[in-house]
Amino acid sequence: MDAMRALNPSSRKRLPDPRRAGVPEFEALAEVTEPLASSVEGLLERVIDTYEVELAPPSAPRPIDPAPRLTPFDPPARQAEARKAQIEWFVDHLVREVRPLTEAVDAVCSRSKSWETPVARQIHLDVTRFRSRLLRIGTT
Amino acid sequence: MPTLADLIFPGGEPRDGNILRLELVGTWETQFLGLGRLTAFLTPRLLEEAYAADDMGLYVVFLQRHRVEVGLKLILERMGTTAVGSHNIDTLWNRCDQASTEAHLSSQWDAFDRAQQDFVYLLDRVDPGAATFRYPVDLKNQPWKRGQVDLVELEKAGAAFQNDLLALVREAAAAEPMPIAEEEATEVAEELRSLVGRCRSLMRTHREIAEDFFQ
Repeated sequence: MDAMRALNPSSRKRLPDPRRAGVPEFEALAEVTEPLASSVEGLLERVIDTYEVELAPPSAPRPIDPAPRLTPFDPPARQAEARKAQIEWFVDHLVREVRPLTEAVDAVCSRSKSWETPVARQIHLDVTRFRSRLLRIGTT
Repeated sequence: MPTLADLIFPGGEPRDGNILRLELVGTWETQFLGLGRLTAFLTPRLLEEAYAADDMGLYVVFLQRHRVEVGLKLILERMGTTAVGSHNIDTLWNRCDQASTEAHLSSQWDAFDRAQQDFVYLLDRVDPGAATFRYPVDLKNQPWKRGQVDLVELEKAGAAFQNDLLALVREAAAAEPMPIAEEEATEVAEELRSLVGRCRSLMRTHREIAEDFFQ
């Protein structure tokens, strides 16, 4: 009986589920973000090299403020305040990222609609798929 | 009242997260990457979470073999050749070799060949017709000689194959005609750079939020 119990998957060590680590939609989006950035970057480099484009230097990334801390021995009212501040911090940072990202995605999505060669077409489809994931975050 | 077909294959806008948008994934590259994501997703979970995973794992072996076939067809597409309608890995491999020469990518192909030929031909030997792991018997109704498989080692080798193959097709991308005209180049470059920057910024924020907030 014990041997049977040991074989039962419910009692065995489970792998951490990446979709449950934070906000599931955000986690799922993050999984595909770097591959998308890399393939778009590949085309960007080709455009710059082929047409000798000179772009102005990019602006420096905005720093991320540290999350408000919860202190375990604080009185309940202060802990509730800190929790509220944490949620606001999280939503602010999410909105700050997602809104300009959506605009950038929309621009490339619309630009690439007519691209037909395999690599360029792939970028269009990947950006379109990425856009719909972003929209799911926007409605979460 | 919606029919079963309407429920399973709905038209119009996706109504919720259950809907697969298959019109966005109909390319060799997406299907190749999708197979890699699926095997990487299934392999550890089957072994850790399922009781006696042999009956399910069987199909993961097929998926690994299928990843090789689809990957070779991706190479053919990117080398400017039509993908052949064959499941035969040896035929596909030889076509890739020939197409790489025609695309002036012989040295890149040779490096890929040296790194991956053993793995590819190993899968070809154990599953020459893409049927060994899908059906219990062959066309003569005889059981296959399938033996045992280490799914973790298979996934490691499959992932290495995928990485090398993507490096090869990235080289081929440089030969593709540009999708834009010169007069729009600066505008397009700015749009592309903005997207790359925003993606990276999202990743950075995600990492920092995960470290700072959810821990």
